[in-house]
Amino acid sequence: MKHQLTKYLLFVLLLKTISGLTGVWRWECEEGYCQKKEITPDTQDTAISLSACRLLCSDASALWPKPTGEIHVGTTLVKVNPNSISHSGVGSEKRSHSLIGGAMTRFNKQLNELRPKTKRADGGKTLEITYILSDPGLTDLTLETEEGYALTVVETSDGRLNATIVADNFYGGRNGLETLNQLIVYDDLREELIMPNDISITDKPAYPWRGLALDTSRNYITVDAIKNTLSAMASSKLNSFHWHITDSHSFPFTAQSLPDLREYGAYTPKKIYTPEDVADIVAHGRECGVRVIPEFDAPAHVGEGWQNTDYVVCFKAAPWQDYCVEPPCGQFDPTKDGLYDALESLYGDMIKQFQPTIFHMGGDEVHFGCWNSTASIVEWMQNQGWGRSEEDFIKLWDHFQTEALKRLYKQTSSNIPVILWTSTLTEGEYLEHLSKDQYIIQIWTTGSDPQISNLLANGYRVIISNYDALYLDCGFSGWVTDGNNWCSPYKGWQKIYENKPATVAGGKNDLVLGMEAALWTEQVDSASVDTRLWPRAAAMGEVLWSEPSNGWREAESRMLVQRERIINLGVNADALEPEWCRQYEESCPTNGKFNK
Amino acid sequence: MGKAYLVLMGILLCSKLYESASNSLWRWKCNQSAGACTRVSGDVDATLYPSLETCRLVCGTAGGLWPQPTVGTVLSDGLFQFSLSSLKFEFASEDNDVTTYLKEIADLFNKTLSSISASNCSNTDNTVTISIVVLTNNMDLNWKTDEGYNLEILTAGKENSVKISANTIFGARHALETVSQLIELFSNNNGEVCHVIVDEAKISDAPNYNHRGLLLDTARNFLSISSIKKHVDGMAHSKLNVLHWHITDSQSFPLELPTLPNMTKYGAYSDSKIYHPTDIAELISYAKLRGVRIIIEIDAPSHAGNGWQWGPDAGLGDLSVCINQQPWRSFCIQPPCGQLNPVNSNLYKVLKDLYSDVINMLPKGEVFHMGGDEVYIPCWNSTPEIIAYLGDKPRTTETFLDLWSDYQAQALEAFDSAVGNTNTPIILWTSHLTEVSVIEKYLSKTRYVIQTWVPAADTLPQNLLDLGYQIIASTKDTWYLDHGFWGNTVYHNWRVVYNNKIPTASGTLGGEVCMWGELVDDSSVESRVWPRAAAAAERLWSNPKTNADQAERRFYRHRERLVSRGINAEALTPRWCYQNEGEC
Repeated sequence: MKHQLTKYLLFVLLLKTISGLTGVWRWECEEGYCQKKEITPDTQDTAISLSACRLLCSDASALWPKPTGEIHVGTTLVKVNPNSISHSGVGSEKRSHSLIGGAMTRFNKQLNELRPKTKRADGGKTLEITYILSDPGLTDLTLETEEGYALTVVETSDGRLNATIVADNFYGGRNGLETLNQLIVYDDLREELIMPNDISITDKPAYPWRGLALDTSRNYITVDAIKNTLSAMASSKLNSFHWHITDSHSFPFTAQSLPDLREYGAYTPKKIYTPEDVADIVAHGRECGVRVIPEFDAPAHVGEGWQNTDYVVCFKAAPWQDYCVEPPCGQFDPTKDGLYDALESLYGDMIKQFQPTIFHMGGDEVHFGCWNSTASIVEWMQNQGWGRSEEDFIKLWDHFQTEALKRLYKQTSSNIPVILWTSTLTEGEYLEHLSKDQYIIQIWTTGSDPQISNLLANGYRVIISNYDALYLDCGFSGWVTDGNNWCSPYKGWQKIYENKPATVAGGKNDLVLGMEAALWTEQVDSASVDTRLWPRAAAMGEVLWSEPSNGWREAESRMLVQRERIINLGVNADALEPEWCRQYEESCPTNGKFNK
Repeated sequence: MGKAYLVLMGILLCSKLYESASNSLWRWKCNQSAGACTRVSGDVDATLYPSLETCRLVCGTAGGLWPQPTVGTVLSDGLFQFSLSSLKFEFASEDNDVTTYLKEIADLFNKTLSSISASNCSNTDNTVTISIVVLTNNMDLNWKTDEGYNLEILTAGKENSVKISANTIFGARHALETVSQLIELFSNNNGEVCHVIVDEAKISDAPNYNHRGLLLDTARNFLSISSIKKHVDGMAHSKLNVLHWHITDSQSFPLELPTLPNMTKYGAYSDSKIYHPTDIAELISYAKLRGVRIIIEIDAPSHAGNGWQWGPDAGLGDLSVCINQQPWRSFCIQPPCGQLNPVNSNLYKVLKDLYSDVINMLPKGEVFHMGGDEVYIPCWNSTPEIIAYLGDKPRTTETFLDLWSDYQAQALEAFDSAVGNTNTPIILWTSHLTEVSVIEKYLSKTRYVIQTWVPAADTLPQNLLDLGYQIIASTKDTWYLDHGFWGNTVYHNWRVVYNNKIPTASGTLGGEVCMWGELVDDSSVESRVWPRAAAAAERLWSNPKTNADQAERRFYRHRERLVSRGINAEALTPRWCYQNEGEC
């Protein structure tokens, strides 16, 4: 690609010459970076926009995440007609037919949004997309699903653009479509959509779990905001939306079998998720190539919603510091037999609504002080012949986890994988309570915590969410103290990009399923959720898809484009730097190529 | 406690407030001595409020008001139910600017209230009449404007009357803002949603500081006019009164100047990222209606680069030097570089045109901000034209400071000649020129107001006051809203913002929170600014002796208010803490 740049200017001549130019700027590719230049009479005909320049100026084009196989992006740019796009290859008899349809609708909408409303004139080449899927019946995204694809674009002799996406299944096909989408840009000098007419890309992800965790209990997040989040995930090929739907603060989920949970637990009657909302979100997730995984966090992190039962102890206990990690307190009483029946009903409702391929049981931050302060629990333990040491409370916790898992399995047709957060239970001496065949451990300690190597040495599959890089809530106001929150400072996208699975896993990355950025919502609700998540989560998207050996600096120009792409989806992604730095690539960073 | 309260309580006693069971679980109880609203479940009880918002209206000395009134606040704990259609305004019918303004703010008031959606309220027997008396015809908003007001609410039978008196229209506007914060939605027993107003109140209020500002930077990244309007809305709801518009910088020049079209041609990020004079005019009147004045800053001689490239082609020589020069660290403090060329006499002719164009966009007599921060001597010291101009003079810091002050004197002359007087106040940032040892040599205390941007521990603001300068405080380590996202800076949470006390000497005109734009644009600027700017608003309006802890409940309420009025203010806490006051 790099070697064709000299050719590039000649090919660009095929584009329409600009007439009646009002702007004074064009862009030129220099050493892999786009630079803003003044348009002069001799450069008038070959002038290209920043978006066109970025498409052709470096090995990975403007793609995010960077493809892992062959990348060939031709240098002839042609005008595309967004109103003349068709697709074929997956007939209506195939189970993924409607998913393809949904993905195409997103694709068309995005292309339309690229153009200013007043500049949507017709014209340009027809684009025909053909899917060749080996398994068009596959609709569930599992840990084994092939997400790779091969994308080719050629121009036919009669001037149509033929795009072919070859993949195992819908998910790979969708990823190919996402890549194609990123290669169609709006040229604001000529005011038209353009794309290369010669493309060949093969691509597949390095890790099967590229996730985002969102908490909707500390503060409610609207269904629209969640669907926007899924769209933005799609644009960065993130594939796992981990929905921390309940906590001790509120219970917005509708469990049909236990209606009181929501009646009592929702912040307001409007701040709820109906089964229809969940279905809508799950369906949107599929179209976006994203599995939606529910978490029911237990035995800690329960409270609001359970008021009418006697299953929760320490609810709203004060001072909260003695009974939990943040207010309001609340923890299940594992000694109540009725609890497990209730859990089975709840799990059943969740399985029915989400149809998940994996389930998250939470399991973090159990506070032994809470159980130890509850007379009936202490008595029950004494009756088992147990004491009140940490080991004994671990036994109690294990009792809960074992019984809860049994009930979950009763509600699933097969024994689906279960995720648990790291906790005392996942520490060295207690790890034996958890079978490595059943449980995947989600790590939320620091990236250098010895617990990680211990888990890997014992053969556990892990998902990495080390808080010192992947907790997106860090750096803002505290809410139980005067200072800033516990995991301050803010994690910039550069930090996230440098947080590589292989480093965290000390080389044992074969057991690493992937990573997950987490947004806990103590200081976030729908008003600012977009800004917190994006574009930072996209940085992790490339880390997991491409496993780049390069640092953030090499990715910066493309990252800035990706941020604009997310904005184009209607998602309020944060700004990363002054626009000037995007218009003069590599001119802002210290020791940047053009900062010398 | 008035009769209407008793009537209302009668309703509360008679039947359930809500028809739907899902609505009926929670109620709120006010503990007046603690000023706390507590969520309770259970049977309907006359002392309970149907929502936290209605409880917060009347609970505690300042209820849910933000900023808290300064002179006196008495709120009854009774509520008067009404339909918005039964709310009327009364004011003098003279055909003048004051009346026009009052009509417009009355419309705006109605719009604000109807944006929180009431539905099917059939209670049209009860009436609310807001009468406004404004004692002067003064239409100017400046540092001398009296923004105080008196407000009294009385209820007699089915008639609730709100009496406002103020010396100026701006005081009247603030009073209406306060009234809007004494009104909430109320779901009654007929399944209707009506409004309620506190049935009796007496408030006397005036700000501590006359300059209560928010700085927006639209040069590092462009902000759309609609985004800026959102900020003006937030300011109005928080009684901030100055939008300091850092409109240009070395990165871009988005302000279209009729006389100097090259500035945006070369300086705008794109054709769509330009402020046209019509946009500015519209924004100024939009802001005035919301009690906000706009102060324009054209930062110079530093922070001026893109937009100034056209000098040589126009035969005027280099108007700015070091533009986009690399490596930037050698020529400026952040990329891209650019600093006006003080030795090019054409510059001052261009500046005069520039100032004329800007002055034409502003209300008569409006102050102007000339920036004046972060002049980087190595830029000038590496420019052959400037070195040649200095000739034999030693190129010491003092020489360059003299050059800078010469620039400042000529820029001021250009401004004065453009405006046609010599007494328009000019604001400048603190810089080398404003150091205590030299400021009197360089800058007249009768012409210049100094905006300080030093940390809270720095004595410079006090020292400048002692020398007799007027200041505006923008305490860097508490009121810079961009901190926490770059370098070693720390995010200043709302408590830190609130707790920042600035000098109270009379030379302190007020203060500003600053939203520098390197890391924000339309997408995130609202949540970065709000609700933190509102925390500064109470500091500047009320300047309470107390700290953030005592303001928490009202502040949480105000954040919700901003959101319900269309501003994407950041969340402060889990909603659970909002609903369970004092338990977190």
